[in-house]
Amino acid sequence: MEDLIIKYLLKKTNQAEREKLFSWIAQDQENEKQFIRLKKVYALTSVMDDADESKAWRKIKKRSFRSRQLKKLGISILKYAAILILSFIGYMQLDLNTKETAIIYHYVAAEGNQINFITLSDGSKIWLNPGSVLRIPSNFSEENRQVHLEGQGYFEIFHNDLNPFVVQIDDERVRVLGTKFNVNAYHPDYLELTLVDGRIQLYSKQQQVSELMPGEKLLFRYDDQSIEREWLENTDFYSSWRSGNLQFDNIRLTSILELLETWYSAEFSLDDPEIGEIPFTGTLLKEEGLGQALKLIRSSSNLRYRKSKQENKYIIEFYQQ
Amino acid sequence: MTHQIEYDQQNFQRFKAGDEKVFELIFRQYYNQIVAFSYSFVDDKYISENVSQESFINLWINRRKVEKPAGIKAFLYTIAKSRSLNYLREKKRHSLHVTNETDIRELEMNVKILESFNFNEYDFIELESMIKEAIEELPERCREVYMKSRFEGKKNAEVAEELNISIQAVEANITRAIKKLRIHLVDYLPAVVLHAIFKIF
Repeated sequence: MEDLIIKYLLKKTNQAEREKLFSWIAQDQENEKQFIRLKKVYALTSVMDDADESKAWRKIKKRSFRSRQLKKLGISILKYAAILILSFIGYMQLDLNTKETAIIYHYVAAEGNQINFITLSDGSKIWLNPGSVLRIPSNFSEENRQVHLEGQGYFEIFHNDLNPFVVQIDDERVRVLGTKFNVNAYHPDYLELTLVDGRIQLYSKQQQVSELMPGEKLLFRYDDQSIEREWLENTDFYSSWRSGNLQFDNIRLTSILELLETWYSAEFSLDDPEIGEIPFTGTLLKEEGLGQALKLIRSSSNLRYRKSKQENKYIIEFYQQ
Repeated sequence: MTHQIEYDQQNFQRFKAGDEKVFELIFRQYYNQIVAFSYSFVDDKYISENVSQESFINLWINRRKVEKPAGIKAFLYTIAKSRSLNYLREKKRHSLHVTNETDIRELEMNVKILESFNFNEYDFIELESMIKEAIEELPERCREVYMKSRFEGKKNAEVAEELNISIQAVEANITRAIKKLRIHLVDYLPAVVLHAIFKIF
């Protein structure tokens, strides 16, 4: 049997042999122990003989040393659009030696209706939807990863087990263990989190209130701390907006309109709240403009709208035909 | 073990201070080992290379937290363990519909073994020397084949050509070496190390 185990460890067994081995393991505790011992020794002593070391080193070099270069600049911002950065002294913090230390915050916000993209010094990427503001402390580093968000952001966080990334939204904190997720904090009453990949935990007032699985959407109400969970068949809607190419598959109208409001400086109203629950499926390109989006909604439902303009804002009222 | 470079305290301090050259040496020494470790559980070359790369990037970021030279290896293996586990758990979640009994058993066994590893630097120092010792005690031809294959990263065919023996003989010697190493390591490791390395639920 030991020969079969070794053959298996060398990955040379066929399906029948694997079946034989695993039923043997399941038969008896002693068998399992023997297998585990051998597998552990093998795992700790083997060396991969055909891994492309040089290619791997180039990749590591790029990611490890790049982040160091960025650190010199503090935060590097890749401009997709005109970005407004305000830096000023946020507050004075008193440390134990009664030495005053100033923390300077960098604010990243959008000008107009642009989607912004920034890369932080730890390699994390963040997309900000129009009207959103990200606050980054000047002492942000690979060891201290905490940012504050208003509005909506899509995050691709560089995984670091020892230093979780924290996104703060007032009293709520999203603790991240390396992952892709969307945070929607536009609404004053609730926070919406959607996890595309990885693992995130939601903390409220220092207490962990929930943990998300990939493909899960969570609604957290601030007033009664209640949680609604939803499994999504497809998370595209929550991640595709960042490229200005919105894909939605059975997404209710309210969620789509929330996003369109921020994209086109528009305000929507529904003459019956039920309208907001109508699900839509399709694709919208941000650059094609509000008119195209409205056309699409009209052509795929029995909804009609009235459009008016107040100052710089479009007011759109939907009604059922 | 001529291939294994010993790191003195000075090199270690340079690494902690951000010396990229020393980091590269560490990478060259351990990369293939970490890939192989992950590969023996995730069974996917691409994934295991990614896991290994992530381990080194994490090591670089957290280099100031590593306290001893032996901590480097423990750190790399710890990250590789956690990344490999993440992958396997994800795979398990996505393969609920898979009914092949053997695949499920294999996946569960891999998770179980990975979870039972508890890497700490003291155990590694011990284990390293135990492995070295065990290899020294292998019969000559057997040791030669094992070293070329495992530590110099040569393919079986290359080893066969170099030593002027058949590929079957190379394979047989590797099998023999693993068997002997197993016996040596299990029987001679101090109880405390044995507990850490071979902790069984």
